[in-house]
Amino acid sequence: MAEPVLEVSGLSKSFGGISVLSDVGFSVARGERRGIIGPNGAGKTTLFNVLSGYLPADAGTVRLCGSDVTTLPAHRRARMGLGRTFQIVALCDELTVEENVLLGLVASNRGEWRLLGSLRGRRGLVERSRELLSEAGLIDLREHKVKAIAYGHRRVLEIVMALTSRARVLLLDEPAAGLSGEESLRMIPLLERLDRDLTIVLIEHDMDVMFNTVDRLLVLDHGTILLEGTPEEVRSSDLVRERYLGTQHAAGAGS
Amino acid sequence: MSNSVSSTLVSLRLRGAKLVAPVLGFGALAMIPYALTLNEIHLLSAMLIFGIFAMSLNLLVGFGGMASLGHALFFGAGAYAVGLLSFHRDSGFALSLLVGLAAAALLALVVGFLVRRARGTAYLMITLAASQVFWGLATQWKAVTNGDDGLFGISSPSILGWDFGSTVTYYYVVLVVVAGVFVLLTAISRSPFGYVLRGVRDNEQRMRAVGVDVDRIRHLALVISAVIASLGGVLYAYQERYVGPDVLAATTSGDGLLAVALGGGAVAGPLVGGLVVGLLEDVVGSYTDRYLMILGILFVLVAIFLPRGLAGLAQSLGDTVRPRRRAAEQAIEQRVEPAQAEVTETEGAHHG
Repeated sequence: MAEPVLEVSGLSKSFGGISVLSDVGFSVARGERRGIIGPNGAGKTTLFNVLSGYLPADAGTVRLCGSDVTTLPAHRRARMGLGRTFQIVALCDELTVEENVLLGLVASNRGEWRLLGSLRGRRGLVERSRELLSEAGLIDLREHKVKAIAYGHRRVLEIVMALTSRARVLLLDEPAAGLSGEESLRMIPLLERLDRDLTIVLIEHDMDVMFNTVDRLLVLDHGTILLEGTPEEVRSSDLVRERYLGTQHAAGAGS
Repeated sequence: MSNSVSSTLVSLRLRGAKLVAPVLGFGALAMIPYALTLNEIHLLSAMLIFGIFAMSLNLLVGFGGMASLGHALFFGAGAYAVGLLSFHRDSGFALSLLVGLAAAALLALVVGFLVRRARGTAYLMITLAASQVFWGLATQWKAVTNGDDGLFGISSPSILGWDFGSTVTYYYVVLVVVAGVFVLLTAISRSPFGYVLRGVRDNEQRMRAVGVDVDRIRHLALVISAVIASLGGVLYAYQERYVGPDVLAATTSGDGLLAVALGGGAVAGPLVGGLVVGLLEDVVGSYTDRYLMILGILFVLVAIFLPRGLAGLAQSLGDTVRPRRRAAEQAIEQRVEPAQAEVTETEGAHHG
């Protein structure tokens, strides 16, 4: 197994006495695609928020590429190579698609402090942004304000934004949330095309997307790890079927 | 190759079109004194100075999404630096200017720490409180500030033996400073920092996720905005040759917010808004003491009928008058990148 780039141990988090994560530990190897599943309220998004520095951990450690980042603020972790997307699309609505991408690129070069010189006139960044937007199929929308583009396109842009930084680990929080079946199927090749060196941790309720993308799965339930294994192992686990997949499939049959 | 050439041409043409309005505007402002009386020129200087204040506030409110009700603090810092140094020390223009700018920067640094975690209403309240503290000092600490009587005895401004205190000369000095601030803020609005600031306004989470230290970006924006506002304050003190507590009052901050809302847009809008509010203040103030009431009503009307301000109105009007030209520009822009279009088509086929 390749060296671990994300190592989590003894991670706990509670809100006002209610434990949301307790003693969560796992590690993800370089280039691995790791899925996290679990029923609503299992603590998946909270786990992402603690990993990326949006919430402080109560106990435990998070190590990124070998260094302890447990107490670092979110933007420092981002600079160390941790990219993420949000369950609720987090983009700059009043700016254009391309301006959003340029912002991500300029920040990854620590250029956000430049008071002079035009952002849109920086050739290298513009070229890179057009590359990224072409790959994602958003190039024709580059001059549109984000608030004016379709939800499915915003979902894709959300992933592009995570790619603008020199991310080595990507946390994708339900990239297909709110998408139609057809739209979420289009998400699969997009995820497959991502650089194989990139480590991806994925939260997703859409099982087509999940089982097509990940190498290993982590099943969270009530803030603890229920099971860790390959998609086949998880699928065949009675425990998981009973706690999660069974009810999920039954409940999600209509959607 | 020809693509990049035509693309450069298009961008030059677009840039040229954007230059026309400011050049015409500043040209008109440079010519207009010939048609005005000295009193009117004096008023126009006051309006321009208020325009500086409005432009500085818009960096905070419009770009950064930080609505401050205490921006008068920084305008007042510049004005009181001049007043105090003239009243107690008889200092000259250059020193007063430097002290004014430095005082505003220092105050903004401190206030910036107080509002680091504050958003929305909390930001309004903390900035209001900070400015009220200094308004209180200005009215109460009579030994230093001369209380409500204010500070006078400000002599005609001069630098290196050049006296520029006459009404007309001072008008041109103010105009040059306004033009300088305009150019600086336009440059900032196009810069990476300007865009990151707008990014922070739109979505802080996203900016953090791409590695931006949001707190420090906001803090720097406050300091820049404060220093520019204090420049307006310094000019104000030499214009009026008097500084009273009113410059620090919450109503000054409120007038600034009205100018920003009225103007809309990035840099030119707030400047125009500042000119209009500065004019109204003088005109309405000469007819009635109910000046605030009139401005309050104006605020409500702007919020209802001009949510994007005068700049928004100008843009809609422009789009109605010249739809064909816009369409032509877009067509040219699109024709510039056939290569990208092909890539996208392949993408589309791949997905299908």
